[in-house]
Amino acid sequence: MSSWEDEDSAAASAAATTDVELLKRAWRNEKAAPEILHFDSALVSRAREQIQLLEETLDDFTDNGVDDLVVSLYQMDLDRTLFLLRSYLRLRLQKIEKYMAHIANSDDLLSRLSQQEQRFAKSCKEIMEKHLEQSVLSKLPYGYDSVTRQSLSSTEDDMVPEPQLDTFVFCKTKSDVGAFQLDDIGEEVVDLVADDLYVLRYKSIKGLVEAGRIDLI
Amino acid sequence: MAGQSDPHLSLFSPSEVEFVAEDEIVEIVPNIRMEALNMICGDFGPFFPQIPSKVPLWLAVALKRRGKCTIRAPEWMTVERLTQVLDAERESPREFQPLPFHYIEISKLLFDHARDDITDAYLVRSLIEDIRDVRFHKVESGLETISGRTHAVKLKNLSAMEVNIVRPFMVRTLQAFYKHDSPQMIQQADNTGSRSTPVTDRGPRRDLRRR
Amino acid sequence: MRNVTPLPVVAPQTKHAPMILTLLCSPAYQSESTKFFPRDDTKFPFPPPPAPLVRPIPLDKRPPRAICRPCRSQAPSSDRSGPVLERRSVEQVARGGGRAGGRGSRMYARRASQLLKELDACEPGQLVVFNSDVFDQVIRECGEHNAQFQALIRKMVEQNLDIETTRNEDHYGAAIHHLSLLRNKRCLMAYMYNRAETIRSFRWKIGPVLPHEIQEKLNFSEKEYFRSHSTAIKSYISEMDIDLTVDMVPPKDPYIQVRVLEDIGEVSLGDHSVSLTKNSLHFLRRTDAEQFISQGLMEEFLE
Repeated sequence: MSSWEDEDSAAASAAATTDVELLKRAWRNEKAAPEILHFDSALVSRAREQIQLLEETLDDFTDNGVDDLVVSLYQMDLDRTLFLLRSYLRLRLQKIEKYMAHIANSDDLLSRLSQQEQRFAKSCKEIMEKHLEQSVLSKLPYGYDSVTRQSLSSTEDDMVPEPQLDTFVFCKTKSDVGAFQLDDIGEEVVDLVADDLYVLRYKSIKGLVEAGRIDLI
Repeated sequence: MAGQSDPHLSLFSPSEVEFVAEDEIVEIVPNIRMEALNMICGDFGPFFPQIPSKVPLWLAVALKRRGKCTIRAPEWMTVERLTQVLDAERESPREFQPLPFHYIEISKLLFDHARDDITDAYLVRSLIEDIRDVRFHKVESGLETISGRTHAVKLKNLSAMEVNIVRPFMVRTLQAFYKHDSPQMIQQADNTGSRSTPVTDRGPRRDLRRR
Repeated sequence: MRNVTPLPVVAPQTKHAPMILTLLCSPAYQSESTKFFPRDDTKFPFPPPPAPLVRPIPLDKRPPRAICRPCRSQAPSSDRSGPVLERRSVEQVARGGGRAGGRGSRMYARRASQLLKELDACEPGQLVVFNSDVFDQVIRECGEHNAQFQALIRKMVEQNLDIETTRNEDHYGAAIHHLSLLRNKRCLMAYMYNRAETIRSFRWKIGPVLPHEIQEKLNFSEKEYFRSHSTAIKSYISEMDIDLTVDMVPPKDPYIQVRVLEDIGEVSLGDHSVSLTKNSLHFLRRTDAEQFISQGLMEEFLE
């Protein structure tokens, strides 16, 4: 029906090559995914370089008396990129805060974090444990004073908040994925067509998100 | 209620959805000459008076606010096209017409900042509002069809803002059905029904006895 | 494994039916505020009661509180259906277990749920004063439950009973004290944990120094928690060399159009000066305009 769709997707694929577009995708995926995703350090450092470069250029502009209009437009470009980067990093910190113990106890999850985030996760967890220890746990009887288990009769950690991977997420396919199995036994199969919008369980499309074949929105 | 209290479910604030929409490309007609802009988000221009050029919406609005251009309303934002969409929207109760993913935000930004560039702005605006209403009604009745067997929902052509609004309710509904329908739950119910499986070792009783 | 299965809402109630049912069915237990701690399966150091005791009771006939001590004024339960045997044993073993409830209620672990109700009643992102009265009472209850629990186990050991297999009244009494203690612990932890979450959010919303009216809502450990956590964020920020405490919302055009509401006169902004006369319109840097807007001398002008 429409020519704007073609225009849109053409523009989108051209834009997808910019780091801002990649950062925006990482930001959206991180926002929508229940668990912490892999930190794209290469992307983040590229974005930071470009930000720094533009900051320097803007300084030069002011020194050389470049037109206010042009300066303000570049400033907006800079502000937008900075917001995206800061929001992305902040989002991850807040996710780490939320699932600190769960993340800090798992090598797999820790490996998704930047080094700075790993250090943050560890101190986050220690600080929280100390707080719970001195305000609650130290006052409870022997056998009930564990921070991760309800009591000695718990056979596994049953007090560690963790993300619900079974939650439903909204996602958009980039290209045809084809018949995709949502469960382990093959009773739930969905044909994922390009550029369509679905609500699916995160757990079942986790792999597609990681492979960059599907975007969370 | 839980949907609102769970920050995870309302993922994007309206201003964040708008932020994303501001990267959509629109056409402007500058009234000034300006060198090419080599920005982090892409290269645009050079700009010449009366020569149309494609830029992201945020840039278009910024130039417009400074009186440096007019914005060409997108092709779909005409009375004719929107009337067609509205009719089609009403005729097909089970599907959504294709509109740009950010049609609500784009039209809002253009109405706020470039109203004089839109032909029949008043009519266009009310058509978009009608389309929104019809589509929301469809979303609502679509939600009623969710059942325990719903393991996936396809929402072809639903837009960004519509996603954002329907998300908390949709996710909670699906979650609730999924939870009550999961084989594990059914299995557990069976177990308790028959009581045939005696629970044996429960681990560290010794620890509790020690004192 | 557990993290990928939905939280069973029905299962835990049926597992140790019917005695523990009421404990787990209480509305506060299902409260949103406890969501941070997995809600499934209160682990039980004893196997469930043998078959004859677990007559399923229809929901409508279930006595409202199988775990309460019956009020003294009440007639001995003659017409009440339900697990008579359990109630008797509970009554015996629970003596001296503390009146853990509010008015007219003697259900164990009831007081702890008050803490969670307080959390629930609070606007998201807001805090009320740390309830040290109730908190300390619940801590004391925990100690009492433990003393009772230990005493009953000791009694069974003294009688040379195998505590793993014996199913007498002392066994069930001990079980109740154990579960009540667990429930208290979970409520206390959920209370602290959820408050800590709100306190953390203050770092992002308010900054590293909290105003007095928030400070006074925190207990000692919470104040310390806020300070330490702020430091952790600060070291991340300095390691990364990027300030994450600004730009909380998407940026807008750094310039805004304003209308001057009062004669301000000649003002120098940056490298040029502007004459700000009443009712004139200007295109100013948002940061420059904000001081005038907050003083009521200007307003943002929207077409």
